[in-house]
Amino acid sequence: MRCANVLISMALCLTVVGRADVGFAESDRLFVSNEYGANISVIDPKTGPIKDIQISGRPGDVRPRGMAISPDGKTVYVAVSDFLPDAENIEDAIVAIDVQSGEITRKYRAGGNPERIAISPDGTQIWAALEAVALAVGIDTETGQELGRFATGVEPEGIDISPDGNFVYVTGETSHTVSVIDAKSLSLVTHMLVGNRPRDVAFAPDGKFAYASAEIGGTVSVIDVSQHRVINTISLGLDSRPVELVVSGDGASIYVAGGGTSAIYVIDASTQKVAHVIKERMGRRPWGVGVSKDGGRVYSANGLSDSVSVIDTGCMCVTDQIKAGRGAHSIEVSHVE
Amino acid sequence: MSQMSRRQFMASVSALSTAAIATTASGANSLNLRIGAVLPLGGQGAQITAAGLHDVAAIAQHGLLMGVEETQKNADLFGHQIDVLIANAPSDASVERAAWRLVQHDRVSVLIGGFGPTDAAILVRVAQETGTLFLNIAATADRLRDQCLSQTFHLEASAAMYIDALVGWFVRAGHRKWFIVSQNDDEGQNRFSHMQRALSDRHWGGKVVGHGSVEADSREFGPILKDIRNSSPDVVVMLTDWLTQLRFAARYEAEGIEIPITGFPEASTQTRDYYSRLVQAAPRTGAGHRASLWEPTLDAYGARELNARFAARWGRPMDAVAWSGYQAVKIAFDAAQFCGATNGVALAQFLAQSTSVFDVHKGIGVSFRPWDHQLRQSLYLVRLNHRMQTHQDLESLRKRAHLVGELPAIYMPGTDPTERLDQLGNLTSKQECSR
Repeated sequence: MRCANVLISMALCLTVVGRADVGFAESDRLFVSNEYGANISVIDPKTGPIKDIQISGRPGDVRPRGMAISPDGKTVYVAVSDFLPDAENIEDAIVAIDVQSGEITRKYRAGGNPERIAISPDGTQIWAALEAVALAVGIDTETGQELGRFATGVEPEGIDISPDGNFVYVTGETSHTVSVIDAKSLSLVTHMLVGNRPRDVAFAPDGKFAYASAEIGGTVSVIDVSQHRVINTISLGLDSRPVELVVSGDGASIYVAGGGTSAIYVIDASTQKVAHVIKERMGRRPWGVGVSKDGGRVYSANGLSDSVSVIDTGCMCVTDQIKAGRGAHSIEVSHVE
Repeated sequence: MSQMSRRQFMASVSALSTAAIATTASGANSLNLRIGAVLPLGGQGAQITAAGLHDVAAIAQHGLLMGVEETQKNADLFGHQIDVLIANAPSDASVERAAWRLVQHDRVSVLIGGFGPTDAAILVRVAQETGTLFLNIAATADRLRDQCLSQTFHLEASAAMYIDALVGWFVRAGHRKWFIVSQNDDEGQNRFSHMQRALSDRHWGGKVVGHGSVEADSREFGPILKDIRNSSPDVVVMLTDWLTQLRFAARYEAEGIEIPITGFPEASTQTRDYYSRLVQAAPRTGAGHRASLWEPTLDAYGARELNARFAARWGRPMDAVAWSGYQAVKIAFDAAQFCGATNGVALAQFLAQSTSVFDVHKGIGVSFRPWDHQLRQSLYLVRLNHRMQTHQDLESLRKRAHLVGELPAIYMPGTDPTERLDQLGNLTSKQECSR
């Protein structure tokens, strides 16, 4: 469930580097997957980078991309694949990382180039979009056993689980679809046409709506979850090339990373219109986007500037840039007390 | 790949068309899209001159087949069906017969083909007379675009686009003095005229310092080579057919001329096999830069995944014409799916809309220009590897060239995509194709 921020109650070793503390009533912890660095950057937005968790000793060959954080905040799951999508290699896996130690604690075999993943609200299921084989796979987090494989469009990517844990939505990039899987009965429900080349999908916190970004179409589709039906299409412009999107904890705003314009688009969920476009001081080609638990800050992972942009949602302006690793792809935000 | 008969091919396509899954989208009307591809695969009637196109046609067939396989997977989600029938038509007369048979007997609503100006013109005419959609995948002639007919759309880049891209790259690289070798026919004259305009009107500082004209299938290049030496150009451009380019490059190399040379990138020249032939014929000068519609080493925008799937499917890199064959099937199905119809007129009307945007794995939404139905798209600059091996394994084939540039550079933010892509090609006759 992408919109939820989680609690991390353990202290990570912090290195204070004098970053401004203004606007950070609570502490966020950022996890950024670096596609070309084969590592995960762990960042305290107040103080800067804390450490890098190395996924593989073969940067440039092994690519961590989509991530999800367990409901208890103790584990970060990372979809890891390689640059050889035609063959399943040992690197094609979902990696579980212990947040406190930074150690890789488990690998789940996924196969077929897992690109993005989601974890069920009760933490018992991992779902992954297998880009190379046009399938979505469910995995039992405890046993590691596959729950099932389900046909999607060719090049599936975005994936999310509804807050009630009932449905998995998966985007198909070349089919322009969102496929719906019943996560309880483990059956395929239906497929919906959305915008051209959908890259990501996210449920609203109340589970009534889901939103799917379409990179080539430059749109966000609004899906009525009760009917599994697209009820509106919001245009961001053809040049926007939206990728990741995230819904704020109160459900009021949808933040969309516009890779084509180096912008974050802010959609008002009540009007379903673009309310703000944040471009000034943005890093280059934001692909990943996350939001703090209190909704006060939005973070983007910028793939061409290897950075994280920090956005204050009060002014809807960029307040900071933080160094990430090479080819910053996705970002997850957790919360530290 | 050995050629298969039409019956064998149909059997293979049917095998691919697995039954739609039980849980297709509710309320969706099932579509049955029938596509006919007219390819000069060979056999009796095939020409072994510069028009001999069976190699590139076989590559296009690979792209079409993979296009059917993948698109059918997507179609299965909604219970739709795609049938592609491939006709082997190695001569102009057989192209005409095949096109009519596919439309009238096999009831296709989409024709795919076009490997030269003549066979493409036949398909344009048949499409127009029958209300069939024609997708041109390999014919570059601008006069096909200038006709501006309602049923024809061009995935292959136009000659004007290729020439604009070549001029853009080479002028920016400091090549100011150009020597042009063109063919002594209408198409050669058109290419030469456009290159003159591109140098004089668009790119400050470039000029033509010499021009030579050759007959088709010519082997006599002595006077032109002498003119090249005398005019001391920065670059020599062969706007001829692929065979003349090959022969000219070999002679050029033998003469010891070291001025950079490039050639017009018609589909036959955008293959790993052609690159190998070129470098074997002219190891130093042949291994220069060339323009391309697609490049198997492109690894951004989902291209990496597409290239990898093609390589896994066929054991070869995805050459440009395979890409255009693949995308033709994908675009035809996307159009059918989004407009909810399969007849050729409805499909053409959908493609002509400015709001109809397609994903062709080039990282930007592309559309067809309203004034000539040319697909707006970026082109690529590749550099041939002068140490390339003649081995046929995938990695050796892939390494015969590598990507060095893209025009327009679509990853730079801040420009409207349509404006950006319209930097290439003829832009003067901005009217809609309504005939």
